[in-house]
Amino acid sequence: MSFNEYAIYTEDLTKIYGQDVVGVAHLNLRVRDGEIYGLIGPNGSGKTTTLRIIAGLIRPTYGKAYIYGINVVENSLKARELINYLPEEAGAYSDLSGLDFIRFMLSIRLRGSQLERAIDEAVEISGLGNALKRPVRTYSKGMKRILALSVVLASRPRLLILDEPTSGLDVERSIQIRDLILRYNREYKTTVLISSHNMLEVEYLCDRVGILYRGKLLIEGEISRLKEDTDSRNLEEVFIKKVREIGS
Amino acid sequence: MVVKLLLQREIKALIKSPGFIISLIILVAFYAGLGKLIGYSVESNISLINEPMGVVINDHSPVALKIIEYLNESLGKRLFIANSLTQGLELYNVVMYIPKNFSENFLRGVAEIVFYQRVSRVGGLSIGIYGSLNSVLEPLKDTYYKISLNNSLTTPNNFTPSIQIFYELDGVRLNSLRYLSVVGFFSTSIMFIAIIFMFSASFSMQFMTSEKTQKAFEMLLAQPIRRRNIVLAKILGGIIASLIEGVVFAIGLLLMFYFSLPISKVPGSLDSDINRLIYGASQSSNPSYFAQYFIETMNPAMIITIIVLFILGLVFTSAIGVIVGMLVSDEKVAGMLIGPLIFSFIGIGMAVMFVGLPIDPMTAFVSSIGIAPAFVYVIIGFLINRIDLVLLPIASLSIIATILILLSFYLIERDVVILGIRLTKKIITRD
Repeated sequence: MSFNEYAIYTEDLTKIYGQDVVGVAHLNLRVRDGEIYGLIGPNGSGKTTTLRIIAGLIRPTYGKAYIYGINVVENSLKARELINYLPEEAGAYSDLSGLDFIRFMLSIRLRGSQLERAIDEAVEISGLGNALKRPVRTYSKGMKRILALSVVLASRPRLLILDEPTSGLDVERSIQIRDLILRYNREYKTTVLISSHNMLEVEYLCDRVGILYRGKLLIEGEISRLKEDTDSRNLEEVFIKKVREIGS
Repeated sequence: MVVKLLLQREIKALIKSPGFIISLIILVAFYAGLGKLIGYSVESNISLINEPMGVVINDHSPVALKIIEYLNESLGKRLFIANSLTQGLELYNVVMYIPKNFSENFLRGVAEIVFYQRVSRVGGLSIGIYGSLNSVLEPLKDTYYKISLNNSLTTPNNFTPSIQIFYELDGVRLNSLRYLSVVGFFSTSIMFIAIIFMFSASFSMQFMTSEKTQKAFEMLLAQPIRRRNIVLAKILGGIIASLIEGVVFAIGLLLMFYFSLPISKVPGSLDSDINRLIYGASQSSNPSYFAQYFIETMNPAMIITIIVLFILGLVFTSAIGVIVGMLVSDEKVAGMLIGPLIFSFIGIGMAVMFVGLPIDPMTAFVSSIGIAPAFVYVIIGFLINRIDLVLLPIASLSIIATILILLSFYLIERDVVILGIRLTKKIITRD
């Protein structure tokens, strides 16, 4: 496959903060169209940095990143037309009602009947009902997260980038979010790049995973294959074994 | 005990905050520098009050010469004869002009002396000079008393002296009321204008930092929109919010004046004792008196130019607010930085009030970056028909506003808008 056939293709992607703090180093990531790819690793491993570069929020120090063959730095606007991004701890404007927030964010991308369709869809998948009429400042953390996720899903991007979408949420809300991600991936063939330090969640959701550790990609592949190759029962064991390998 | 613990926590957080430390340094350095500048200005103005004064005599009668002799003694022997007004103003900052029929009128109890003051700096302290020239009236009355005794005049109490002052700015002579109405009005209103600019910076900064605090900013930046539109919306939002606040503030101030000066509601009461008590002996220091003459001095071109300057100033300050909002990581740091920013704008307004501004194109261009000076230069430019003094401040503010907008367009595309400027070492996380 050539680079423009991948949903995400990075080449020697490197981000160094300040003089010597490595965010991510020499990352060669390949995400196929229509798959759910999980980027896992402990806090500080470079997951958010990678996602922010791919979403066009920060620039790499060097290396390249492409979304469906479009360079995210040189052609940022066009790349952003194909993606939507849910940052970690995504919030919403506290003065707006949930419904107004949905309308505001979607009207940036869509117009006319498409916009109305997307608003109805976001209202439906959020499951927030009458609470959508209340100001966002009265929402719980979980409600805010589901509101933001509904907006990004209803915009039906080709590529969805989710940074720790269930971090800090209760089980019920986490399951709701995971089901929505799976539903959109299956129904609309949305490619998903998801970061998480919750390896069990990634195992449940993803087709393939990459393990980041100290800014470097330790290993990547299909989950079943990774477990088989390392003789592990789950991803957590895969991770621990790979880290120990480096240590030794 | 708990309060002590909590207080210690607050103080520690404050001391460790780079924004707070920077704000303290800026405040001390800025105002110390401003004080020094004002000091020079006050010194030069004090010396102006006591310095030698030229006198051009067109009435050479013995009585006139005697009057000038007495007056010279009363003024501390600082009058020096000049051959002409032009020569006098070349040698002295202030020239007293004695008209042809001066002694004749003087003996009839009517005396009018005309002063010409060369103005090299346009500023609020020249009003003080106006007051000091008025103080010549008392020595003039003493002189009349002595002269009336010598000439056996019978009605020494009917003496009605008056002085008229002209200001010479760059070769153009302006009636004192015309000049002082402009300078006086601006001396009192420049602070108000500075406060509106401060609002503008404060609002746009708040708009930008609240995006970060509410954690919707990254989502917004990832949308397929030109990010410069976000910047423009914040700048315009800051301007609109500051205009609303400015109008309400103006209404508040007007109400304050209305309720605090009951006597001024009565027509023609400006010379009343209460007004004298509040504004001093001279009605010329009354703001409403200045405003009245100022409005009469205004013309459509001047009004349009002032509106253009005002808009440019708002764009300028609002862009500064957006830039600071982009650079800081949260509202707390922004809140600490807004203090010095606010005081800087007010401080520049104060500097204009006290220090004054030289009538010089280069200074007009450079100092207009401080916004408040731009207004003074434009008004003076109109008063003395100097088109360069009108255009240069507009050019200066246009350039700086454009640079700031372009800078904000540049910054919104950079990492710093997400990561913020980190002033403490090694706090960047990798994730």
